[in-house]
Amino acid sequence: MMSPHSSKAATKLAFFSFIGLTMALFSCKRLEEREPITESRELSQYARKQLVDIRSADRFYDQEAPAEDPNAPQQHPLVWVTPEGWSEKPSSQMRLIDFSFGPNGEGECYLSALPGPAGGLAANINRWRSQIGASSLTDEEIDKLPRKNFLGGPAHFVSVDGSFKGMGDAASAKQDYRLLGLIHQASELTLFIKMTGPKALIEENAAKFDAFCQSVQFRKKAEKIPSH
Amino acid sequence: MSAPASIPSRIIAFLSSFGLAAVVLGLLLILTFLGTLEQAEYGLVASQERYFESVFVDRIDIGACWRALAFDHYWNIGNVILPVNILPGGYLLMAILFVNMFLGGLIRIRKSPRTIGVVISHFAILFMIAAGAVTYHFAKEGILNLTEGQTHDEFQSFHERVIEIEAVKPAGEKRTALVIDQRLFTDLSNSSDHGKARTFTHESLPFDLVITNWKQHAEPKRATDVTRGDAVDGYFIQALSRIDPRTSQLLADEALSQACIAIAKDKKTGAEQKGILWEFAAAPWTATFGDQKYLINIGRRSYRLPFAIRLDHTEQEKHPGTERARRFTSKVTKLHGPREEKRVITMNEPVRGEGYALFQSSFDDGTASNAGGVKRSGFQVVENPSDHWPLISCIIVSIGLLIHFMMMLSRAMKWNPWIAVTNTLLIVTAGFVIAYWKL
Repeated sequence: MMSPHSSKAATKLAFFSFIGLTMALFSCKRLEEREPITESRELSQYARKQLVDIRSADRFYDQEAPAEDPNAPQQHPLVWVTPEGWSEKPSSQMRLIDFSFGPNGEGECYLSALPGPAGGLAANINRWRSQIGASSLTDEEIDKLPRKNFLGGPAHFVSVDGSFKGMGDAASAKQDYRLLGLIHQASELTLFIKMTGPKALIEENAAKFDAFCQSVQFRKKAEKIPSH
Repeated sequence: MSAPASIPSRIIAFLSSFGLAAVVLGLLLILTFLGTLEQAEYGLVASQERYFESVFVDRIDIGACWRALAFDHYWNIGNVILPVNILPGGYLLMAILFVNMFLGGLIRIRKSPRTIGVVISHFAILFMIAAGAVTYHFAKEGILNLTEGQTHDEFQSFHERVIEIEAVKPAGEKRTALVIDQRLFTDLSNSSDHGKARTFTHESLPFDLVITNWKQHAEPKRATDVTRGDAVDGYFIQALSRIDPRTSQLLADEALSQACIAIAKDKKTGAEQKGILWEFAAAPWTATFGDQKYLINIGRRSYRLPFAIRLDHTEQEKHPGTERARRFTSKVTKLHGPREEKRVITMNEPVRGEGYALFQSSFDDGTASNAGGVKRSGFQVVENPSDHWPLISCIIVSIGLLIHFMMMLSRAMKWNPWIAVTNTLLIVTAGFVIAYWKL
């Protein structure tokens, strides 16, 4: 049982707490015409990359807006960040983005797109593997391949070492090469990013490959707003 | 004759009185009634803010309550609003109730073996009110949307909006943003007060940011009439109805898209750049000052998790022979720096850790036309220090009332009250243990 003394002390404490609480409740600050910004936050390393100077029509999904300059050449459908040390080559119908790198430009990395499933995932992965002299993978093995995030979704990641002949014959194969690739299947098209070169050079540039893949975005197709 | 009671004693007597408790409980009943009726036209979040999270209710929309009761069927009174600040809000009433119960139910109550159960129950109810206060002030709740293969360590609030200003920096540099809380700009609607604006300043910025023409639910529309005074870069803010045309129901707060006009005023020259901020915009508005660019946007408040989550794989089970989902499952990896931990989140089976709980809340199998075949999972993230307090409180209330009941029963039956209470508590504890073991 509580002593009368402690009961009195508790009563006083409660009384002054109530007065303090009431004062706090009624001390709400009135908003002024000028308010200093007092809050800041550090953005996550996973935050969406900065999209700078996007015109209003694209910000507001206005597909019917007139182009900024009707006489201006058509813009590339993709935006990306070129890794340091990589040289950009003019894009073509087959290679939407094309780079070379390395002391003699022996490393190359390009992005291409084909409509629809483009023959299917397994066929494309095994086509790449045959270009570097590796055996085909089964569907189960392909299913176990790692995924990397690309354009907001998962893409199959391929890494193979061998003798790279590309589209040529076995006699012209370049020894001790490595192929890194991403295949992203969307509903209407399949996107490929393929990087090849001497193994040591590719090892040096693997992080740049990842950074480049992460930087690729559609210019006009805005990122999907998360539904709540 | 006894001396008259002192003023503090009288105040304490008033604060701990049954009369005050009855009035407070009566007012809480009125608040619940009005808040529930207004919810039909204002939505859950707005109604909660006005009636249950306020010190005073700023106004009562009699017309909305009238319509919610379907009385307009007999007599349409139109828009009747009581612009009075006399009805205390839920926050103030709960604070008064807490003080009343603390003084009356714990301090001033006659303490004897006969009242021990009542004291325990009062303590538990105080604990429940405290849980409500802790939830209101400290709990965070939001959504984390991930596509397969994606990693993130931030979740977004369901209801809190902010305006953020971020300086554009080279890739790889640490990114920071200045944040303006919604309570600082949601009064800047110009529906009744044209030109209402507020200027936000910060020493690190070469400009002051003026926010005006805020709308709770709107979208930018192309201005075909070039003479429109409110057009910015060929667009104006078109307010939208909060009624969903498909269901004729009020849209949930999460579905609303706020918009406002931002004016960046150069501190040196006074030159202005104008942009429209829209919650659902594909990208922020860019303001340029010399060589430095700033990204300004309005959106949900972001909260940081103490770990990152990677969505590895999603699975969906359907009811046999139907397209109706039976179960969504997400295989995720919890990343603590280099340490990785594989976890599974599925419906009604959240992942808990470090004060946070992640629940599977939505799922997208990627078959929608704009989903591009990409599977997504939405996780509801909850951080609530008092998550289990209401449950604990209910258990303590039950024990207190059980003790009180056994005390009264043993008096009537001429039993030894302590033996009766001890036996009852032992039986109840055994029941809990068996239930826990079996379930």
